[in-house]
Amino acid sequence: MSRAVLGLLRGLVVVLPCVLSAAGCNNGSPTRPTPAFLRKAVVSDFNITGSGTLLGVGQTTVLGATMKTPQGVGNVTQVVTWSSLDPNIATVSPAGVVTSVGVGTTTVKATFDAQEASLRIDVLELSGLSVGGALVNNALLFNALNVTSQLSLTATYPGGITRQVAALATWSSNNPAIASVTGAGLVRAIGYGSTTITATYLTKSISVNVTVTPALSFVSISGNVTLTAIGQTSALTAIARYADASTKDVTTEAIWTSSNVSVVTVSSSGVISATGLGQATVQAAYLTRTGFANVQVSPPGTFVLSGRVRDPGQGQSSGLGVPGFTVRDVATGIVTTTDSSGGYTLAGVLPGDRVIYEKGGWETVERVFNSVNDDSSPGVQRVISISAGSTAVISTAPNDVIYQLQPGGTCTPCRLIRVNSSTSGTLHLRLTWGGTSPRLNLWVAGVTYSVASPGAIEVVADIPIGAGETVVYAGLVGGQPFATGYMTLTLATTILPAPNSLVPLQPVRAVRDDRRKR
Amino acid sequence: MRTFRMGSVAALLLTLCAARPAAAQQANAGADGNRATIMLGVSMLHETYGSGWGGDVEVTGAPTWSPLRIGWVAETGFNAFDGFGEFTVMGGVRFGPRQGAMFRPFAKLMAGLQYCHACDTLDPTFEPAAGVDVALGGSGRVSIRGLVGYRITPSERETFKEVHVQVGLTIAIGAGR
Repeated sequence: MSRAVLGLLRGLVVVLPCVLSAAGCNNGSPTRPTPAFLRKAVVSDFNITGSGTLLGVGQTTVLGATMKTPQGVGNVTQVVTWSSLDPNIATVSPAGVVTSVGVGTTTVKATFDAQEASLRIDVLELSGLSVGGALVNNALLFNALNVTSQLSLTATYPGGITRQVAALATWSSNNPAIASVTGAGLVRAIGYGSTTITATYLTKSISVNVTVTPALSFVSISGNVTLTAIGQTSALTAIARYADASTKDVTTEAIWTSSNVSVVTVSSSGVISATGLGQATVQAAYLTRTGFANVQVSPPGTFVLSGRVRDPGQGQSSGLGVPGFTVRDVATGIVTTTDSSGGYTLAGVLPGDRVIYEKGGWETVERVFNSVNDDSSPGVQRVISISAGSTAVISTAPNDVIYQLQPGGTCTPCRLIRVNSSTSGTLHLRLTWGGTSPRLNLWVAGVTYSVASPGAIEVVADIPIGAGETVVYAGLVGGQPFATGYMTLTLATTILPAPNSLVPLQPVRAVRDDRRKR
Repeated sequence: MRTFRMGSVAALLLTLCAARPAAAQQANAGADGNRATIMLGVSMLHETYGSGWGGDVEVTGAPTWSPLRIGWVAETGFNAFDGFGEFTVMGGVRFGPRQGAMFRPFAKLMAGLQYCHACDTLDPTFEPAAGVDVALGGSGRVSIRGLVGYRITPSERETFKEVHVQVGLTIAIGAGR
């Protein structure tokens, strides 16, 4: 018989019951076969569907049963007879709903005539609960009222099985006037203070602390931060200050760190201990704020000098740090070197000590320090060495190094140029720059050589010099310093008269005339 | 099982062949004074897996071969059980008396094919049956049918056995003499 005939007959069998029987339309469906259908048909693959794992006592899982019939796989859940081998572990309803009664393992069977299918049922015992969310040290912190935070609740079972049960748990607040909690674990800050939120699921409970405080403004550190001997300790205190002007001692709650443990270490309770001479920054981090304290370790009567050697001609408000500068206390002989950002720390400085900053290719600067408050961040200039007949190109920018060139006149921006000649003669200098503004000058030995006319872009000067060093400043003299922008200077020199009397010019060590006016 | 099914199909073919001579004599039906009939009825099939209600349509040729009154018969029917249905087409021979009598008992021997919805199989089926047509009115063209049969359907898994009860209305068609 062809497939077409079979298809026709199948269609008739489906349609005719609808005509002949009011209830027949739903009967005989291959998805929900009747017992008579199943008995008449040749069925196979009798299976139970659904999960056999129940997480805790009192839980339910819905099982199903299927059979493969000539008309397809049918749902026989309502046709089969359900039974549990151990009703003390789990029971099963005629509809296949399994309910856990006790922890353990049993088997649920589905029976239809002589056919049988079974499924292992494991009832697991809840082994633990954990709360998640924006917790800090198992505490939920609010710094404003009427804000909310969602907590999650994870139930853990043997075998590493976890379930999110926040919506299934019972949530409660120990003090709803401080924090309320919804049935799904949404916590809301109601009033200032601390309380406890408890989640109960099945046989276990878990609590988290909730603290509602005003907004944290800052953290300050107090205590002795000047240590005079290695090994000396000092207990610091961290105070949190809130928007409502209230304070809280958070010394034990803050996270303490030291920027340089070779100078000072700090314990978790804020006790600092000197491990070497120098200066370090101690931080106390509490919630969203961090307090800072500079700790100095220096012998009695001395102080710690710290600062940054910088190149002010390289832009930025304070100039770029210059690494590799040697910083030497002439009196104590203590020497340190500036780090990659130009920073340095010099301990054991006595009032009145001279400190010299030196680096090859840079001008040497000398400072005298009477207290820790003296400016310890000198701006330094490169030394431009130029030989006869050569040209140097100098990039510079507005800087804060102001050279007092003559009474009533200053030079800024400036570049310091040292010319060394073995003979006397005439130093021919030609200074040019791009653009028509500003008007730059040369200043040599108290004489200013200005541009010939407004808008000129060069200065040419024949400067009588003697044997030895001649200091030249190139820059804007007596005018307004640049506010912004860079300029490029081009400097050309010739030393006259006798070429054979000239020797190549070499950089010389020099100490800057530090008659600075800030 | 397959051999059994083949044997069943062979028996079916033999039955149908036996019926053909009766059908060939249809031209003489008028001489017998009987008419061909059509029957519309409700039926019930009862078997191990329940009872199924449905309907039958039967057509008979005018009987011949007096006095046995042998004639051909064809019948189709559908029965709806609880959750499944069966569709049957059969043909065979009918032994019956003259139509002129009020009570006209008859017997049928039919063979055909039955489609089992639950099994999704098409199986040979056989049915001996006996019944009576009771004429209504004087013309005798309309009769009430009552029938009991025993249907045997060898299928792949088992041989289904069903009692067939039929009640219907038989109408004589054509011009009798």
